[in-house]
Amino acid sequence: MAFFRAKDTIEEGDLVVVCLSRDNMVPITVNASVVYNNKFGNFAHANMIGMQYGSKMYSHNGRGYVHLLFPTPELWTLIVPHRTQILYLPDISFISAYLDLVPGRRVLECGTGSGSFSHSIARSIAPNGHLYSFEYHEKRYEIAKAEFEQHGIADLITLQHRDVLKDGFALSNAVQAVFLDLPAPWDAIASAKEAFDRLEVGRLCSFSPCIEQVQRTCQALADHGFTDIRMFEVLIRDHDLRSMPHPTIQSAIARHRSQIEAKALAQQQRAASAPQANGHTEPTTNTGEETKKRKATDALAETTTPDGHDLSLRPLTDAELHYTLMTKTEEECRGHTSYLTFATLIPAADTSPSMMAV
Amino acid sequence: MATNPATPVDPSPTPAGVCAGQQVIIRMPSGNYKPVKATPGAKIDLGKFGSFLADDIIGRPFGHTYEIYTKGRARPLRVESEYATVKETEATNREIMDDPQAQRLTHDEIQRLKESSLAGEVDHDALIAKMAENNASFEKKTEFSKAKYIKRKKSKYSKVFTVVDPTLHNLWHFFFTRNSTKIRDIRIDTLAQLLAMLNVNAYSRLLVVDDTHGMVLSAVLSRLGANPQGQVLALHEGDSANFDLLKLMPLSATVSERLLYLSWSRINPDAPVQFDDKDTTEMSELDRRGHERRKATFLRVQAAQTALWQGAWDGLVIASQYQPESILRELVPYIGGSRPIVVYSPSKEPLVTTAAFMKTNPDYLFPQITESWMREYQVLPGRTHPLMTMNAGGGYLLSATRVYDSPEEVPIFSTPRLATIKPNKTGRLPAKRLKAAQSADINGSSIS
Repeated sequence: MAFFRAKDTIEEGDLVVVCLSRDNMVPITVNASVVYNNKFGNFAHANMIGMQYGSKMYSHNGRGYVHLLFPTPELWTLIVPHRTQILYLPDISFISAYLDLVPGRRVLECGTGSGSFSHSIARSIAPNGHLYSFEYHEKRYEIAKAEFEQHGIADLITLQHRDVLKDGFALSNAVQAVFLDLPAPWDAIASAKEAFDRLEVGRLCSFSPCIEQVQRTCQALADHGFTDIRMFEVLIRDHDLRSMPHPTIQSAIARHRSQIEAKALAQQQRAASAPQANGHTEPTTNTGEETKKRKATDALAETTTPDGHDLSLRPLTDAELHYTLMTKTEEECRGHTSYLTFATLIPAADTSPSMMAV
Repeated sequence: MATNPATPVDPSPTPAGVCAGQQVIIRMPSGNYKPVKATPGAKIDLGKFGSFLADDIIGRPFGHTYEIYTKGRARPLRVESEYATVKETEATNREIMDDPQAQRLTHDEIQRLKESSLAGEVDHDALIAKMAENNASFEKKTEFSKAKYIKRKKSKYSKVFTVVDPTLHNLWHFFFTRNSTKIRDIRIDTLAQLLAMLNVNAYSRLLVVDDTHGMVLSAVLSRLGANPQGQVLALHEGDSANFDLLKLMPLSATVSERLLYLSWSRINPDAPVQFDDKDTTEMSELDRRGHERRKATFLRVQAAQTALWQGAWDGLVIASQYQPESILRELVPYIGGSRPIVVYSPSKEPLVTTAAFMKTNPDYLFPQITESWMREYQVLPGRTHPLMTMNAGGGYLLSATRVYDSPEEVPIFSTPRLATIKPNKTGRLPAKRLKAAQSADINGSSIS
């Protein structure tokens, strides 16, 4: 099965993304003899076969459910099991648009890393494009190689284990787009230039977290004849939706007013009943004992009526609370991923007499 | 050392050079983009920057920069990056006065220079050098200010232009700078995210609701390529579609074949389009042609209707002035399971109500509103900083995944439950469902 090519029904051998929540997704390869287990209970792979992608599946005891999703490069970016410093949607999508990654494009990527971007590139350039991907870390190279096979995108990708800073890309007139995610991209610019197909406009992107790296890269790009050097930063932030109380100040005033009125009434009631209980006593000297007593009664009068009804502020009613849809940004979000430096390599000068260097 | 073990299957089908009669975009000295038609023998007019012959650029690769070197003719010019020409400097601005008298050339003298430059008698670099030379404060400027001065003058007086390659990014730039409201202010980063969220690829079958005059549609089609398995159905209002931006997208005929149009008034599955096919042999020439035209329209609409009602589409994208929920109600039944739904809006409010609708409806998984942010930097030796002005807002996207509430319920649109907006945290089943699930034959109830 091709990784990104949507299908309807789950079959044996399919890669399925089991989704418990937004932050809890697990990739599984469907194997009829296996049972997947999570906090909700058991989910037999055998029962998944024949189900529609996007279906809700209940656990054996009905304690919970999962959604069975089809893997896309975007989902894979969220769940990739062996993450290095990986690229996320805003960067991936922006780079893909700037480098014009469309069906048929030939692309160079270095390094492969966890293969997150490789999946996205393969999706965009299929069926007749090609990706040359380079990784110098042997273990990562092996994992990526196995994964590309497993995900049915190996035909689109030539993956090489290679130290490009030492050995170069060994490609010439091969690609229209280059993506560099290297600690010292400036050392790879000369070899990258070699790799470009010089009959068409070539575009390069370098992905570096530090501004010093950007400056050195720009210098190298300018030195090697690249033009239109531009640098961007892209981010996204989530707006979480919630229904929040949104009462009016008038409802707060009304509720306080009714409390004041109720308190006044309670005081009157108390005052009316007090002389009857005590008779006509003469004013006594203010002993500490009596002050204490009166204070306690007053405090009681603040919170209850003589017959014991509550005098505290009543809660607002549902109608008064006026629940309203609102959005709020997360407390924290990604503030920086990397700087995206782009440059253009214009097609080589031809030999016609009108082509004059000025 | 081994060279590349595999070679690409098929080279890119996109033409590498400017074809005769093609619409191309020119980047002018001012930085503005201008669409022109490269008709052989025709003059291409760039206004105050002069004109040239279309033949000067036909057959040449995109991306090349040209100079109008004499009246009405252009020739290729090699350009250098700005980074390569600017040097670091210790000079300061303490000697610089804001003096309108600094330029010693009179207005008339400058006008005469401009005219002779357009006539090809004076090189534009010579013109700018002359202006700089006669500017009293030029020599006191820092290297950087000098570069800035020359850049500013070049954007006015230079006759250098570039034939821009028609990539999505370049086309977007042209439309966005010319009239951003026409494309509903969608910024390139947001447009790019939309394409990624939608998982557009050569095999995609997508429903597109585009009120951006074809900006979103162009973007989707560029990612679809010419693969016969891909398909796009664009919904439109009224009798005919108005996606005039498509004209500038260099789509090959095979890509255009992937595109179907259907008017909103034709989507009702109970009302398939009808046609009374008559025998044309007895008809007059005029009647016969009219009949054939109507028949062609019928076949086109019928194909689009059949495709829509067939369902299991791979995604839905909405960038429309109409309420997104109202569009979802009509189209989501035709979207397959686990497929993306993406809604763009320049304002957040329509997406808020739509996200609330999605949260109370079991057909949608994880509706999420995102806002995009983009900043460009000037990178020059010792003078790297973000650009002083930036686009203030890139718009908002609402994305969700189409799911099925239960395995039995496949592509049927269920009644929305609008009672609460709280998501179900426990995922616990109602008693009735629980019973049904327990009675079902489930193997492997113990962990192996």
